[in-house]
Amino acid sequence: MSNRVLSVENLSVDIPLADGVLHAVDNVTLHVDRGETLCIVGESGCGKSLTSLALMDLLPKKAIRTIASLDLNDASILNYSEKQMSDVRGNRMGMIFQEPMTSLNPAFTIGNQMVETLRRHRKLSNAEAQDLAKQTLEKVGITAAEQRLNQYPHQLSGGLRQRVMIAMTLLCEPELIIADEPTTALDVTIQAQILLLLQELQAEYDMGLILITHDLGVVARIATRVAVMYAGQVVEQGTAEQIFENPMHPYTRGLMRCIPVPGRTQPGEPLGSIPGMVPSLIGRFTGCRFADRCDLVKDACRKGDVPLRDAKGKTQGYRCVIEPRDMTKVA
Amino acid sequence: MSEMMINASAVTRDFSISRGMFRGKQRLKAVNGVDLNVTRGEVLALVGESGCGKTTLAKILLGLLPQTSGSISLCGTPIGEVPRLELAKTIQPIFQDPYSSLNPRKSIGSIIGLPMRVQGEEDQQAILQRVAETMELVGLPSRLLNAYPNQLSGGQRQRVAIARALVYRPEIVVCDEPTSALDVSVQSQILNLLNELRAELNLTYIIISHNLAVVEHIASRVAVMYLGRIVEQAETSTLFSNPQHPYTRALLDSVLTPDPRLGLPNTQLGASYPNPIDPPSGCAFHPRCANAMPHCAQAAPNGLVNKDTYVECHLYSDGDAAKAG
Amino acid sequence: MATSDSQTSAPNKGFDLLRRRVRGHQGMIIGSVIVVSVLLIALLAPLLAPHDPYQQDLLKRLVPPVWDSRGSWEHVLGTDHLGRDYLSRLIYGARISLLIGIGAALISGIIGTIMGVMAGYFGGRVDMIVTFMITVRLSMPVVLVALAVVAIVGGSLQVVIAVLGLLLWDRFAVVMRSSTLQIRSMDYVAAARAVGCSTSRVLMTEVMPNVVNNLIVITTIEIAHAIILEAALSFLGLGVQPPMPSWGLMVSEGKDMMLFEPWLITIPGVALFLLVLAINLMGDGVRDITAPENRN
Repeated sequence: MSNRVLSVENLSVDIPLADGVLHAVDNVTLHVDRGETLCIVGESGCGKSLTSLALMDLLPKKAIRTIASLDLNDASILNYSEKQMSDVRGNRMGMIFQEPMTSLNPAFTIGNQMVETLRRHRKLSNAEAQDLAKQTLEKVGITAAEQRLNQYPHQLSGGLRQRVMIAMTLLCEPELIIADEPTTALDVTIQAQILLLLQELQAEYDMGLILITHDLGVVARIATRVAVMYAGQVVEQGTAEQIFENPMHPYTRGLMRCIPVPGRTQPGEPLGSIPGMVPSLIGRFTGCRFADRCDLVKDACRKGDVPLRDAKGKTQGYRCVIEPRDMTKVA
Repeated sequence: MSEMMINASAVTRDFSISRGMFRGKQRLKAVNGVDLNVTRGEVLALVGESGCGKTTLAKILLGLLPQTSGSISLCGTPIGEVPRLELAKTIQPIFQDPYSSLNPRKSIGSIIGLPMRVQGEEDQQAILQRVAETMELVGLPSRLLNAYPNQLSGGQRQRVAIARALVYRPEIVVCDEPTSALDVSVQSQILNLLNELRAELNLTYIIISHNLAVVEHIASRVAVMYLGRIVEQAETSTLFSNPQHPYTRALLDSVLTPDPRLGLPNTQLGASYPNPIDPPSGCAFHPRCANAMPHCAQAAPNGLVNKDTYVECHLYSDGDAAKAG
Repeated sequence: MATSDSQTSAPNKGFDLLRRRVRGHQGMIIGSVIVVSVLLIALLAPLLAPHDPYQQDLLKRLVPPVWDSRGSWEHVLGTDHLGRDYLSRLIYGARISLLIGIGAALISGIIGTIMGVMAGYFGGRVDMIVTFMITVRLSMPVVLVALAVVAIVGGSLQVVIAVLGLLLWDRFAVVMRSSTLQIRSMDYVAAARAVGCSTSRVLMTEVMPNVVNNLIVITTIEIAHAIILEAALSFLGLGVQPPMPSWGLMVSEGKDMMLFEPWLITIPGVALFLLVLAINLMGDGVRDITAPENRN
């Protein structure tokens, strides 16, 4: 039995609009192993959230999903019916969203919602479910767990609610957790705590973790591997060290230049920037999607699809026509 | 000697929270005794997490909210006595959310021209001219004059908000998380723009942010707020190299720099942020402080001023053999 | 100088999108067509009505409509129990329904909007008072109050408009209050105040344009509501008085002859139903189209 928890190949998401078809996600291929954290990083509109929804088959009705293969623990879940998928969701695949207030039902107590999840997926009595819920809350660092079970979401702070979300995801001991911007809405000091918690739990339960974020700092500190998305495509992927110490794709490099880093960027000096805007993804698009904004653009960039190529390290790949040796090293 | 733009002393702001029909109202001290001085040309950052009162303080400085007690003077005049229109020409805001800071029913030209119409300018030509100038100043293409906010990107909208604030070339600009809602690549453009404009127009900034990396890059001085009070204040480089207050240290430790060799910090902050309605006794930070002493729960610390720095902590203010944390 | 991005949709594409939006909303088109037709019919009543709606002809009482074997083209929709031409009464009745609907909605709209916006914007004591008034109003049964007033003062067109106008403001107030509450927390309102706008200016230029959408929807609902209420009042004899050709009154007058002369109640009944339905469809559509989200 391999270590691979999730493997998806050639995932595309198309959304028909009044103006045409929006190719929101284009041939994304990803995988996560046990104990590994894959960070999908990109800016708004890059398709990272849609990708995670597509993996769980939770896309809006109008969206069309095309996948070559989707394996959970080496078994295909690609053609699962809705009933089969709902057995997988919350049970083998857990999802944590950005806004805990809207993903927790404000009309029911925490305990209610946790017990419901447990009894949906496991054959437990009410008392057993309550007990397990209480233990799980304690596991995620919530004190006075007994009282918390009887509280409503609005009675808890943002950080606590997110811990509850994590607890709910853990209830059925999933093999994979997908967290979509789990700490973006939280304060800085709480963010660090929640990420640490996720990391500890991942090690304990030996799960795969896919973390979606736009924050490069988070990625650097928590990721084992990184996939950089731009305009619906994966434009670079590799280990965290590879991406941060030797970014290859011009977009990744551009992003790195944009962020202020205490100790590295000079206060008062202008930050790097990426000119232009994300292109429209409606209708057919030929060539590199970053071409209009790239300072290394050539004619070859606009002709035909640009495949992922290997960088010097075999595990690092980037989508560009320029060879590794021709990439100018930018500080 | 730098000109004093804002002089705030012992400013408090309370809110009454009703606790239901039969329980009395409770006082929430959103701002709990703040002393602040802002000199011309500086970039002062107000840093803190949700509930610390920084946004309330900003609204008070903008004249949008009266203080409950304490005095604030703007260029020498008490803020309550400055006429509304004069205040508008002196201090202007830029808000966090570019999607709610522009009236969706108005065109860009109308939004940017609003300050002029409010000030009584009737010459349409003059208004148009100034609007065009300001749009160019912030890097907005002139063809967007008749566009509507929902046709613009987040970065463009933020530029419109900046243009609106700068139409009358104010002295002070209060930026409430000016780039938090923007993408990384747009954030850097806006930060660069803010820096350029400050130099070009000799502006003074008060920047509210929770993003310490941005603060380190753009601010000249930093004031750290916790539960309605400023607990530490220093020049940026001093604060980042030698933070005094345990909360400041925890904040700085929580900053995730993009260094893959470092893991996640363990700030050991324990318990969650306190409820402003029911603040802890003594020093408000003591329940979460790794260096807490028994004394901390009993008495609030006095502020210690040391040249340009200020800190409120029993580790320092009690003079004697306090462990230098 | 860092310049901004270049891609935005050109403003003059808006008209094409507007047309596409309208075409996609069949309900609205049907509704608007009907409403506009009824409006025109009401306005051009003197030109369109074949007979005088008040003229009685006791020799030609209860003539069936033209599709019945005993009907004739002289009275296309037949006559009522006093020999008055039904088509003409229907046409003039449209005037009454629209007059009352629009009149009552206007009065209650102004009252309710002012109350709701004030409550939503100022909060505190103002909100408390307005909410209390809404609660009091909601605990009053509209029809009974209207009946009582009309019974005391006497029924007439003006009285009905006034009574309905003074009673139907509650939904306006509630919706305007919640819309204003939402808008009040928007940053552009704070920005307008920071720029120096007076309160009245903020209300007129920042708040009102953004609550107008909801106002349109509620207005159409209340116009329809007023029309139905008037019909009910007239049916009960306490609205418009005979011989005015109110549709409700026509139903009332025809109810005794329901079994053998069904057209007397079906024709005005169907007219009422169609008008109210059309108004609601139109209101829905207009709201969707003018929402700023659709301007792109």
